Amino acid sequence: MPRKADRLHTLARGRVRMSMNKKNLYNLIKKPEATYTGKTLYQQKYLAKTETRGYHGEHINETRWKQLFSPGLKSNVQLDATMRGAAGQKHTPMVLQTFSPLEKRLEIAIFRAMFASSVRQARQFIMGGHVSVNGVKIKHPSFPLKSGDVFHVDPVKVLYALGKSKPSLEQALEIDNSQITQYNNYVDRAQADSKGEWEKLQKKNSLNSIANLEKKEREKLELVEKRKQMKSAQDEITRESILLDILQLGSAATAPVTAETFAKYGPHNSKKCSDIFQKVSKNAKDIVEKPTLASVKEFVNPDETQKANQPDSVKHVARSIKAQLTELQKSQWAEIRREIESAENTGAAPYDPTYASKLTKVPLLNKEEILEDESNAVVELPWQKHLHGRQDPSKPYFTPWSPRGFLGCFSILPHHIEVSFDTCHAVYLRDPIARPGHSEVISPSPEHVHERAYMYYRRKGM
Amino acid sequence: MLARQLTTESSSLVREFSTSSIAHARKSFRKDVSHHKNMVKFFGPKNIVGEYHKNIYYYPNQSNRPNYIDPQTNPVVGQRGTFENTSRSVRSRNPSIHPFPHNVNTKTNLMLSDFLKDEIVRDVRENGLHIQEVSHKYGINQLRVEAVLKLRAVEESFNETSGLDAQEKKDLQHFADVMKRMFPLYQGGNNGDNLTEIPTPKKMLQQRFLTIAESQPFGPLDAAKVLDLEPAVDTLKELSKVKSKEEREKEVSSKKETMIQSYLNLFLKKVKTSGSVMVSLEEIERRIEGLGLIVPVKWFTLYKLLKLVYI
Repeated sequence: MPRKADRLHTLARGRVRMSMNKKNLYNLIKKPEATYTGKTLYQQKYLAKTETRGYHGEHINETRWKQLFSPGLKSNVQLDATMRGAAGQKHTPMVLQTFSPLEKRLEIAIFRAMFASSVRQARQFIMGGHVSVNGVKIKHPSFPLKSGDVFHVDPVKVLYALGKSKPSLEQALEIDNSQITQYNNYVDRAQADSKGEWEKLQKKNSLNSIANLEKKEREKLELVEKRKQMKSAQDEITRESILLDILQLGSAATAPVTAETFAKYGPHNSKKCSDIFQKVSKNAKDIVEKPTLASVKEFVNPDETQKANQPDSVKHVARSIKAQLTELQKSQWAEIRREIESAENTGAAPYDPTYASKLTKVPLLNKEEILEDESNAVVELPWQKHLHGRQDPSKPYFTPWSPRGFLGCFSILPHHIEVSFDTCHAVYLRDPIARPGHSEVISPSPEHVHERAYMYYRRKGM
Repeated sequence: MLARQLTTESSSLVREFSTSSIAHARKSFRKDVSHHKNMVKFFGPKNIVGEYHKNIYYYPNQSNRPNYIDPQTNPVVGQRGTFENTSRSVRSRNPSIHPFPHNVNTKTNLMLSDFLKDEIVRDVRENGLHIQEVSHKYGINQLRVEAVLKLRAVEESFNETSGLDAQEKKDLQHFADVMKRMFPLYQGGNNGDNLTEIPTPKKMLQQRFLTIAESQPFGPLDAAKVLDLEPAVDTLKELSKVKSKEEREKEVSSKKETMIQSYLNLFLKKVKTSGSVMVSLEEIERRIEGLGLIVPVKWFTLYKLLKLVYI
């Protein structure tokens, strides 16, 4: 029988446990380093023993642990300390192997391989029949692993253990309704002051590393798409299309044609445009009256027979217009390119003044109706098309899977276990050992604490 | 009795509790440090969906550079000096390698990238390299190379045999991706395993005293002789040599031989002490070879076998 799980994470006691509980993280960060001033040797040893046993096999009672303890400590020596991975002249932290006999237990190996969020949970997985060793289901949490053993935990259980906790239907509804309210407020604000809201959004920095990564990927894809669009937009702009546009603008104008008629080309280019229009209207009135792509083409880019028909003066004018059109075309292309590049450099999409008008408000969820039948839930939020954490309510874990909070602080890749996260299999390489400057037994307590704990169990002293 | 009377009489005069009692001491202690308040400050604010979105430790790091806790840094972005820390980490600690503030002897392992695993598998399966050679090539421990191969075999058959539905498969893939982006990557070079490691010989773990003349030279070779150990140079040569196929087979067979020998000795000892059948070692060996016996796992298996041979 394991020890009773009695107030494992109390803040006043502040013990560090083999657990990914967020309170455990706080206990770890607030724990001051052990001091021994004013304590007798026995008090020091007792303190160290309490400290280390709170972490190593807290669930195993003391009598059982004393049977497991062996005073012989395993270590490795490096014959060639000049080779890679060598620790040089560092000493070997032998006493950190005090609790290494526990590491071969299946429950602890599962916790070390990050297939369970605590040792006690690992025990539950084993006793529930979700764990196999070398393909054989094992129901004993204390099963001793040997070098080369492959152990496996049901992936659904792993997703449950390392994911966020799945909200109940009521909780999900409450969260979603507040999300929707917030979103609707945002839509209101954006429609009132679209530029201001857009700028606020650009300034926001999220710590959510996964969301940021996904956003980056999305932006990359968008950029590729935009590059494609840019190419096709540039291809559409030819000398003929520009001339046609100029002629259409000019003939549509009611007032006498000046540079202002072509304001959309910019202050510098609009003068050129009006110049072109004047030249064309002087020399080829028929094109100006009824501008078509074919006639324009004939004027600017005539083929051999058309060239022969053109008078010399027209030819001369057409050539100069052609040169001006080329300049216009180049400046247009540059403008399109500049837009894309500025978006690339700032890493953000360019401001689209119409974005706010495209936003629509989302209706609030009807609690009673959804509580009766969950499939009635229709969430129309842009980032979430299902109830929060309940994309597939039949699963025991948060769907779509999302890592539990503070996972990064607790995940330590062990040296004595090789883990495959793709399949939730792991290989127990060997019992953990100590080498110069490194101990494979993972422990929050420093060497001097382990030394005293070892002395406590060794009894005869070191 | 008298004391009891005294206390009942003077009870109205003295205070009803003792300030030196444990209960009182605890009470006053609790007032000073409100751990709960401090913890709330440490986590920072929650967002609508219940995430501590301002806490730098809440979301797992995804750039293959772990972000383990550091008591000295401010945990909440945009808020300063709210959390009272009572701890400091050891000076030589690097928070992206050492997960615990006080123990620098615990480090996170380096992860083998998928690309590197593919290379290892290709080297063994297609290029026909021995595990020992692969281990030398990449600077990875032999046991780890073997484990990579084992896990690859599992991964290949996993899709058909797992019995997961589409949603679970998708989630498992996402889980694996997140986990793989969390740990530092092994990139070869100086971070590799030291392949010259051997288990510390037992004789080295005890002190030995030897009286020698002051002028007598005493080097590592002499020490090896005293401790009855092979010189490290020889062991090292043996370790770093990549053996050919024949040599390896020879080694395995000699290992088997010594094993059989030791089991037989044990068996004979039993037989001799119990005073039953006397057999010569050579005869047993001959008989075992005739049977085509490989390696008996436990000596009583052999005992049963020999019983079959003789009776």
